[in-house]
Amino acid sequence: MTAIALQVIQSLTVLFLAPVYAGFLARAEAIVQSKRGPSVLQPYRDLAKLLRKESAISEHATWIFRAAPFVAFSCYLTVSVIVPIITDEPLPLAFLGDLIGGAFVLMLASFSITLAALDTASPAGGLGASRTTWVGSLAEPSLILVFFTVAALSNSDNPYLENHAVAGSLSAYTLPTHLLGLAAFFMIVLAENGRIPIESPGVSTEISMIEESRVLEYSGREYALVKWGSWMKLFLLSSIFMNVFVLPWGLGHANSILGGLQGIAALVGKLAVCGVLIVIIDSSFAKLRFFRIAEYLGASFLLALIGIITGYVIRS
Amino acid sequence: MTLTLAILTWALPLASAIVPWVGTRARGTGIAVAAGGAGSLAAAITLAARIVSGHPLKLLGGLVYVDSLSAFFVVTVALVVTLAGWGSYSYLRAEEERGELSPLQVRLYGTFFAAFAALMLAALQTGNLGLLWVLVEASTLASAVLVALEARATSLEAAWKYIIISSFGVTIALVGTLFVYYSATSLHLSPDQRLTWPALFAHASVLQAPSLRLAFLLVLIGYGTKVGLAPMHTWLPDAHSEAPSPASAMLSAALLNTGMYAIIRIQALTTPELGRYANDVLLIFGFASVLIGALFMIGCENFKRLFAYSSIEHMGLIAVGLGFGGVIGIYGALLLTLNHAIGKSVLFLTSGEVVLRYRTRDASEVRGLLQVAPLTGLVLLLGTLAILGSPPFGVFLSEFTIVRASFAGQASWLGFVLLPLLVVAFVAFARTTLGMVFGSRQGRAAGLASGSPLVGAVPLVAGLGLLLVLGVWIPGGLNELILHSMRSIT
Amino acid sequence: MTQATSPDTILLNLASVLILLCAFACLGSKLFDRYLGYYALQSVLLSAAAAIVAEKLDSPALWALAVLTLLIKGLGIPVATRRYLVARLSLKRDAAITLGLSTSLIIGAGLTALAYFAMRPATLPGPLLDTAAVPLAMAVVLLGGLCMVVRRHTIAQLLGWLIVENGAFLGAITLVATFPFIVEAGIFLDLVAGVLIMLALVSGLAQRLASASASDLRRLKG
Repeated sequence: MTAIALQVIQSLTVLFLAPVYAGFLARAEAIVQSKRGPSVLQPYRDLAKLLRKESAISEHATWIFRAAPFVAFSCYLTVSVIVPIITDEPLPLAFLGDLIGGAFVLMLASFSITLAALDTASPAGGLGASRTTWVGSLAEPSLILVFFTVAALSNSDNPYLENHAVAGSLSAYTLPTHLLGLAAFFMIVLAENGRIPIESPGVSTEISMIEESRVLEYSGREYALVKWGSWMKLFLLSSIFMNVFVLPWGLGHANSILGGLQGIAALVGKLAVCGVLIVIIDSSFAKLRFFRIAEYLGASFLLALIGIITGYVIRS
Repeated sequence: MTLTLAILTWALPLASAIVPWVGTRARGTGIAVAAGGAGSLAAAITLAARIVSGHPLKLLGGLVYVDSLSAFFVVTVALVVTLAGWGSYSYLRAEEERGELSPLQVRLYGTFFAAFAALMLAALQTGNLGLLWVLVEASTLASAVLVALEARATSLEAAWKYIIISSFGVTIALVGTLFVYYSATSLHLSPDQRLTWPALFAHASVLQAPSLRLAFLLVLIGYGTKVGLAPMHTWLPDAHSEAPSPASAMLSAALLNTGMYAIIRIQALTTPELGRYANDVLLIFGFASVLIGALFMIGCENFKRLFAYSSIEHMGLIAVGLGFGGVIGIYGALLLTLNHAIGKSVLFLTSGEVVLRYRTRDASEVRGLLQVAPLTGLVLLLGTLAILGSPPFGVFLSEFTIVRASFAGQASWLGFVLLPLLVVAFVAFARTTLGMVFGSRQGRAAGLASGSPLVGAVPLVAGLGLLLVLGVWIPGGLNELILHSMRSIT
Repeated sequence: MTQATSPDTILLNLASVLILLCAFACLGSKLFDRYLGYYALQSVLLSAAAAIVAEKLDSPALWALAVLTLLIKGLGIPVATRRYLVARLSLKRDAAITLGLSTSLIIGAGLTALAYFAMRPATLPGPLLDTAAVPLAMAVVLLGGLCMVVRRHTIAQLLGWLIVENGAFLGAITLVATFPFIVEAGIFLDLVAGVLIMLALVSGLAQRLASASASDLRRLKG
């Protein structure tokens, strides 16, 4: 019973803390740039506004366009039940998938949005779809290799076991395999969420947009879901990054509600750290030219690959 | 006494490095270099005689180690240094007269020639594989200065190619040396002894096979770069053709042998554990080198490059001889080492004379050498025949021995592969040089007599004479030395 | 999985991996300044690795080497190269790269894997120090070689060789920390002499080629 309650709490945490995390990032970034910036609660207001509005849908759009936001949104919710967010032991539904399974579900979300972008036949949508797919196709091998670094450490692709392996011993934490996997994964987190150096978040210039141009056609309720979904994605990936790689400590015990609440508190602290990290990168690097993205993701691939090789070198 | 001799072999050439800096010019420098070489040769022969009749010299925990194999190579290199030193005298005199070399260049030549010779001779006399590496790498650096000496754009480029490729190769050899050391970790040797060849050789049957195999491959690739084994030979034709001719002689006849010496040492360590593994690898690289050398000789118009390719071919043959192994194979390889060293010194010094007269390295512009300079022409003709292995010269005898080794072993078909390659090399090489020797004088036959032609001819005639003698009669002492050398590595 | 536990080993492993990453960074950098910077960083890390081994084995000779490495490879060579070549010839971007960046990085990754397969610790008896540094050192050697092959500019090739040398040095200190000092010192001396001669050659070549092009200009004037 406790477990089921925790499961629900975990999903609700993702659902309702994701917008504030995005708001925090936007605010912090503005402060770094000597601006006042919007309130951290602004995303909630945006959501409320968009949900009230009616949505205008192109007459050429098919059911795919309408269904995509719901598919994507439920994908993110699904991922929120299988990865370690607030507890250190798997919750009842965690059997649904491991890291690779989670990656597939995330990919399904992205795929549905891409389909929707193509569906309206607007030029910006097609552009965004092709660019996102290109970046995604480059990020994927690197992501798979990051999973292998995880596997090299914990002999499994289960994020909970990886968390235990790393949290349990300092020497495992300091293994080059782990540290390189960490760096590679962080680079992917940035790429997947459209942050610098891949894309300037929140800037709508058609020429440089990647993720954003896929969703230009959306408005009203559908747009709210799409935005919310992308915040959840950022939230989920940041949580995995912090809980599995950077700070594998402080997760709540899975046997009491109190443990879950303590987990949430720890998570907020960790995400603050991650957010500051992202903000630092956002404000100290320039966006890469489009074709340099391949080199960026290649570097991430390389880090993970070297991590794996060293893993086997040190292991045997 | 033996130690004094050993030190003298490299100290005498090294001492001649001081001479250019005390006010003398080309003449003095040339005489000093030649005298250093001659003194070194005398010391080397005496040393060899003592080593053969007595025990190997081992001092300072193996930092100094001279056995028969070292002595054999020391004699060979000292002989080359003597010939090339004498050749340097004529070269420096002539170039200074023409104003081609500044006093600084003369000094640099004298210094680095001496350092180059001394480093090689010292490298042959250490039993410490690490020190051997240090000295070989240092000799690369010293010789690179010689290659760049004439400071043309092409010679600088050749020197760059030479130094960068060789340094890379030799660094690989260092990694190989590390693995040799590593293969001895399980032995109860003090750390210093684990790099010392005699100590390693005494325990060769208990070295770790996997790291030894790796070590041999790395060392072969590394020092093989210096030897000019294909496919690591690419620097060799450039450096040989751009260096001053006496320096080319040193590169081809002494430096390559020093590299081969290092390979022989490591190969000797591998035999008990790895059996014929090292031999097979040597055969592969050797055949590749003979093939590359022979093929590139076809249509090569720059005669110094031609000689360089011939060096690749001969180094390949030596590797093949070592690869066949057995008494006959190694004997042939060592004999070829000596004969090739003498023959190639003579040829490169002759090429120096030709370059001085014609101011070109293009064979098609050189015609009628027999009329222009009868002695040089004659030496080129006989030298060509000698290096290509016609009887009655020594190279013939040694190549014959190597081919015989293939028929003595299991893989006699390899001998049949070798013979056509030798024929190709013969035809390609002779076509070019015979064209230079015969024909009527024409074009730029500038006929400029350099210094005193008679002095210049002495090393050429002496070298040819030695080759002729070695072709018909191997002196008892030399035979003894080679046999002892083989015994010290098997 | 057996894990290295002593802090020495952990640090040494980390240093080796970072040295390898520096080699990759060198391979991937087009600007000479950056290339030099990564080389200097690699040398500093190498000196740190030497210091770790020296501390562990309590060997004064290795301490001396660590200091020498820091002074000569970490400071001397990069500064001299920058001041006398890169700045004087006003070199900025290396245009003489024969392979695309991504391609050479992929080849580099392949070489790293190759180094691992060639030097699988399983095929070797236990080293003096229980580290992964040996295959990584070999990988650095191969990457340096790749730099020399991929790049045609003389300075880039020189740095490539220095990376190879760094790799060999890393191998030396981890595989056989107790090399006789005379040999280690000789290796160092060779390195310094080699770099000096190479720097002279490079600047000679630059002068030669510059004057050659100038004479071309004169000829065209008439």
